[in-house]
Amino acid sequence: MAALLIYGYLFNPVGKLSKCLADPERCDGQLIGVGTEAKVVELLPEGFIIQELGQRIRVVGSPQKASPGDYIRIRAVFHKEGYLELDRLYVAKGRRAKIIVSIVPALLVLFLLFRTYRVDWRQLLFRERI
Amino acid sequence: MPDLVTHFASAYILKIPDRWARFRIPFYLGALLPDLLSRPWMILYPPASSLVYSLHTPSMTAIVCLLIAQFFEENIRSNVRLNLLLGVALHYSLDIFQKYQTVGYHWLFPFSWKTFGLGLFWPEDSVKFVPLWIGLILIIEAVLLYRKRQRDKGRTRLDS
Repeated sequence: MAALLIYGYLFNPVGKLSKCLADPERCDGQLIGVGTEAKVVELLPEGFIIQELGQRIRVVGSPQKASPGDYIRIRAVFHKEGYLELDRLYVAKGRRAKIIVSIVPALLVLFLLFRTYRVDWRQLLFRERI
Repeated sequence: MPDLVTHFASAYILKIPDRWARFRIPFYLGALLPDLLSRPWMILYPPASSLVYSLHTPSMTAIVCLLIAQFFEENIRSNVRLNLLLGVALHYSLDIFQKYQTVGYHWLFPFSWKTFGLGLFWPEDSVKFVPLWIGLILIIEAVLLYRKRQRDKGRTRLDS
């Protein structure tokens, strides 16, 4: 499993912002996706600034209905000068609500698991409660 | 991915029949597992996303299911394993409907980086239906409880 995780990390061919910022020449003109917990940080006259994985970058294009603090997903062309040219944008308005409501079933299933099965700590096994 | 209430509700509805109820908890767990494995890291520590995203692929989740099943006693292990895997299959069968901005999930990881999806809804769209799912589950639970009480009453009458 560890090997697969590392393989996925090293060989994923999808254009990522962090990879492009590390090697701007190679990514110049490449269409990339930005949307891993990406947020709008600031609106500018000609576009906006976003932050993804702790890295900020300027995006040239209309922010549409996005405002600072909103989660977004964009498809954009990376330029080696250090900015993105917007191609498509989606404002993930319900993202926070989605994260919050998702906590409830996760806790519920854990509760049901421990209610239905008891843990035998000596053998590290779940046993059915009779 | 739709929210976990939607994933849970779909698993809950499929496991209503009595004959399938015994291993419903592993099934529910399987239905949430791909997101439980990967999303907390992505949300709480986004730089880890590149490393853990492969946990949201069928092959990796299947490996985790096999591991989890080993922690259940032997006489139920195969049923737990099967229900975990079926729950995971249900999870991905919902995920395949969602839209992507660039690329979707790598369904065939680690054998291929090809992605595909049906692109019917954005991941956040499902949140609108959360009250509906919760209402539906509560109604079903109330009906099941009512039926159980009626059955118990019938038995008590027969015993007396």
